[in-house]
Amino acid sequence: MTAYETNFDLDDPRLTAYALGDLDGDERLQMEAWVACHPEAQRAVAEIRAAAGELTEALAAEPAPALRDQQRAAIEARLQGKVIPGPGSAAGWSRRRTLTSVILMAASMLIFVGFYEMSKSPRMTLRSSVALEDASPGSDDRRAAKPAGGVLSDELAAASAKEPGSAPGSGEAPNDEGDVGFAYSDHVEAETAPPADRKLRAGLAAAPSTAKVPVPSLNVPESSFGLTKKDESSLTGATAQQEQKSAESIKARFSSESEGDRKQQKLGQAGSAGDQDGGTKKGEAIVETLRFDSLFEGDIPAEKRKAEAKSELYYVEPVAGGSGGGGAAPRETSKDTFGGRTGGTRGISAPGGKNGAAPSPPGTKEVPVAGRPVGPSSPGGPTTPAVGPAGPASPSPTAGATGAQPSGSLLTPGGFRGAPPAIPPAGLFTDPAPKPGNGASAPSAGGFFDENTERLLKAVGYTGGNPNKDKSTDTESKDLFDSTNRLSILGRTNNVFDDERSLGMWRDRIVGTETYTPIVENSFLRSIDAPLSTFGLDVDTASYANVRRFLQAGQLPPRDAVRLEEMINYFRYSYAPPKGNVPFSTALDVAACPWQPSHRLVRVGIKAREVDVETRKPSNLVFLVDVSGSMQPDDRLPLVKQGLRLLTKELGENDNIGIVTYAGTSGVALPSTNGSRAAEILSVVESLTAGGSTNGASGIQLAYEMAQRHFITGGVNRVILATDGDFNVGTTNPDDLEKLIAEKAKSGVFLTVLGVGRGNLKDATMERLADRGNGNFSYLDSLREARRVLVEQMHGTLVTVAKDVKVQVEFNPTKVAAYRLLGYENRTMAAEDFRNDAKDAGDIGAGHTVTALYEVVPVGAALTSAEEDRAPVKLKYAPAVREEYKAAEPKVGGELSNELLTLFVRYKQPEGEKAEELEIPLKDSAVQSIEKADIDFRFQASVAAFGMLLRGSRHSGSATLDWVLSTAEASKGEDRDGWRREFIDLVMRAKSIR
Amino acid sequence: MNDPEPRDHWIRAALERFERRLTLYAWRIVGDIEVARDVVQDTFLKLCDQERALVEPHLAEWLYTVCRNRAIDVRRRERRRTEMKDDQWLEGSAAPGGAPSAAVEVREEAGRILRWLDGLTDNQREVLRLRFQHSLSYREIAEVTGLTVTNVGFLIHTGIKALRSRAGVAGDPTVRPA
Repeated sequence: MTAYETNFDLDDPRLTAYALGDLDGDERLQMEAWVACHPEAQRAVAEIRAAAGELTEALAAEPAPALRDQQRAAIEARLQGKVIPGPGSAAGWSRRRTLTSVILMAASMLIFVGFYEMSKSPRMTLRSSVALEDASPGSDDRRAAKPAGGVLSDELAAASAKEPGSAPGSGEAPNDEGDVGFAYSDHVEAETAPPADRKLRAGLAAAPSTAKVPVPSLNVPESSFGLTKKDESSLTGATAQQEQKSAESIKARFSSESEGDRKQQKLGQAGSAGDQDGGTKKGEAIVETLRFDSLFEGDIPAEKRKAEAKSELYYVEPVAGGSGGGGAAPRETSKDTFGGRTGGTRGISAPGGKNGAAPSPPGTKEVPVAGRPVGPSSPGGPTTPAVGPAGPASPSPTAGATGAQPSGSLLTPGGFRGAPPAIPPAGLFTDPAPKPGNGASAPSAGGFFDENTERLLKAVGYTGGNPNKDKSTDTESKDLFDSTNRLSILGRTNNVFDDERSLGMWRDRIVGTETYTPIVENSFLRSIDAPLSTFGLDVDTASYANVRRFLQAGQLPPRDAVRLEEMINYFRYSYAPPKGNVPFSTALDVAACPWQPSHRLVRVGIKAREVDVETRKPSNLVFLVDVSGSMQPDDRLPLVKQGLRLLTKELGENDNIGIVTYAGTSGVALPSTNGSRAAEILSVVESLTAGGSTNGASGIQLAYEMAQRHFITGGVNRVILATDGDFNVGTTNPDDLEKLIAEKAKSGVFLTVLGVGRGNLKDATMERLADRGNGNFSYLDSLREARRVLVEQMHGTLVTVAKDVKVQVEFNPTKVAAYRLLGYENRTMAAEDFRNDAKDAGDIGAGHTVTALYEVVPVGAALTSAEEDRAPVKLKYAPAVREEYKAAEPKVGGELSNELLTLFVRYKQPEGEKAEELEIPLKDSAVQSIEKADIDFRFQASVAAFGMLLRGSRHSGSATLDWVLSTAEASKGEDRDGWRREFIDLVMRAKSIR
Repeated sequence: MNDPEPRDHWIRAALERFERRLTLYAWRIVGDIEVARDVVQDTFLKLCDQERALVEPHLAEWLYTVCRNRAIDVRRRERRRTEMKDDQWLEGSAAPGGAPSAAVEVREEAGRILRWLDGLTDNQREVLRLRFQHSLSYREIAEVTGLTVTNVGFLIHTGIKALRSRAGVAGDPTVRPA
């Protein structure tokens, strides 16, 4: 017994569980051993038992009334086969429920059959177990009526059950509960799972049989609980087999690669060792090893790319990312085993791919933290903008598999945020092969960090050698030397952020406990290949506030926390207001690109109609406030409360506000109350306190229900979710949450997400939720920001003047050789989705300005190295076709030949479903220098450059922090709010961090 | 009346065993003893339609889950039908607690503990009751309430902890988990 870990303390909930006889297996043995040699624990156990006895006794004294005779008689009659409706609606209820459950069963079976047809994967066993569970008595009831599980009303449940075909999986998913949560989430992505993912699945599936493994967590039995007991063995067996297969195929794939092979193996072993180590210190050590290994991985693609390697890039990249996630996972685990936190399994999916090389015991340790997998999504995955067809979309199975990583990453925040927002979850079941365009910019991530670090160093004044310009085939050791050298140059390896910053691209995804979806920066695209650039508008500003938080704390932000468009859009710009019926104005401007003088910077500016305070629409707001324990610090719940106080003062008699809180349980703190009753509202706001753990799902449900009940037609109907994003207890399945939100958005209730807090920020989750709910996402880092978001911009934040606003720019190939969209990486959409009005996109609120910048390479301008390595791959057949195509196409002439590009904007009125479209051409004219552009343009250029420097972009050209600083200072303008002043301050801070 | 048919027998046994406990439990949720009785009746009528082999291995869990869902369902409908003040059915506002304990005379110490219990959050109260009044296991409670086992463990732990420290501090009964 003494061999067991004995690091319990007296405040361990497991001690209570032990004292009450509710601890099982090895945990009990461990606890027993520990208690045996700790007298104070023995006293505690005695006290717990005494208290429990007291409580039991007191509760036993409560009278427990029996049923009335006639009720017993009704039951007896039923037993004897007679149908006697009891008092109330008993019989009617039962029958209707039976009907519902029949429908649900039928739906389940349909879905099941459908899935089976689509994929004969052994994972179907899992699905079938779910179906069985559906059909099992009682479960239909639990699913249909259990509010804690985030369940819809029966009407809704029935309705969704009726449309199994239209949205596979969505029929039952909103009804998901904690107990079957795993099974469900699992089946959702299971069907198209790439090998790497199967590992994770196998881990999940294996959980039931390994639940007895001594893992110090109560979570284990819980996670396994949902899987149907009957099918355990066959389930695990089948998946293990499948696992074996995919492992072999991966292995085969690995060994066919000459270069990365050895390292891959090493990494794989380290990865699995790390997995096995769970939360031990050894696990930590391996994390470090992984980082260095990944460093190589990060470099390899860069070299390979230059050598025109293709599919390997897709391959290596996710692996590097995965090992990062895997490395981080144990850390999470150690911290979270019992804290009620369940996010720890993030990242397992990818190492799984590698574990294939050294198969680990079937998933035993990968599941200990019964968490939702929040794996790092593959950079080559859906985060990759769908750009032109230039990409070397390799048809090899491997590329296919890694390309399919997106489906794995649908588990992850990245999946959704990265994908064109409109891709419905049903897309999970579609062809996992990467779109031609998807691959195009994937490789850029691989060599990214070199440039990243280099740019950063350059930006902060380091002008040393540039190892990456060296095109010779570097050896590993040289890479290592260079990398470590750069590390030591940064000189702050003990600082986690700098450390991580310089250690490859993947580590940004999970910073401490903060999660960011990786951003693969847009690359230059040749307009002859990809003349259309399409994206959904983004009016979010959360990234800037988050970046500010880091800089003000003296740290450089994680790379993926820097979203260029959100930084640019944070500020106010004085575009001309709209005229006529169009809810916004559009403007196009060109100037010389300040960081690459031979290029041009094209600005797309959109300004939404202002709405007067007086004519503001009546609003129906429901605040959904996270009051879990993690919200206690001053920068969280107290900040939200301050913001609510400010907002309350702005409300009038046309407004209604309600407050729903959620933690372990959800409740209505304030029923929808008229804005004129400020005192009442304020007293409730005061009374909000933090405590408990978070379960976002049911709270969101309540909030939407309240908003719908008080729906104001033609008014503003909005749920405002304030949270640190830590949806990590129990029944929350991010996919379901998203489905729910997307569903509710259709009813006209939109979502605003206010993120707060540091260190635990689930940036990715929150942005994704806001995206799905036709909403926006702001990060509150200060009272000032709270005022800005909730008061100053209340109208903009709350009054949507146009929704699903999409932008498409068509470049004229006779004028524009190549172009690059700055930012909007996670908003990029396929060109054909522009006019697909079923695809949703960002909304624009009253008074908002939205800006998008393009860096354009005019025809005739020399391509820089940054563009060159993005040059199209050599194709044997395509060129001929292209020549033919070119010849057949009429030359652009006349008026058109003078046009640089044309901007198309497509949008819907807030309540409308019909899309309208604008078309604005931009004439080519003598290019002016940026110094002569308007101050907004200049300021935007400085913000863009700053963002690129922070991101370590390889496109930042000659930009330096000094240039940013001087440009921003010169374009500060009136700056009534002081935001630009603050930006300048941030630039200075960034300069001082070295 | 001694029906020899085993199918009926097990349901009758379940009725004997759980009738009162479930009524008490439902009463806590719906706040009205008659409504609670109806809920329990419905629960047992539903049990009559179940396959014994599927339900019996986790009978308590099944009964409490069905009863709870039905109770919450009914509570929601009741409130809607009678157009009571907005949202009162939701946890956090119209706590049905108090009714039984206030209505009955209990020993003084027990009364104090019950009053203390009433000061807790709905969640915590329910979990503590399920554990110490209805003798469900952690796992069963998790199943019934939809909470996680971890969460249940935590709620019970903090509840018991607060009760232990209550001896000295009779003042603030609320438990505030960290």
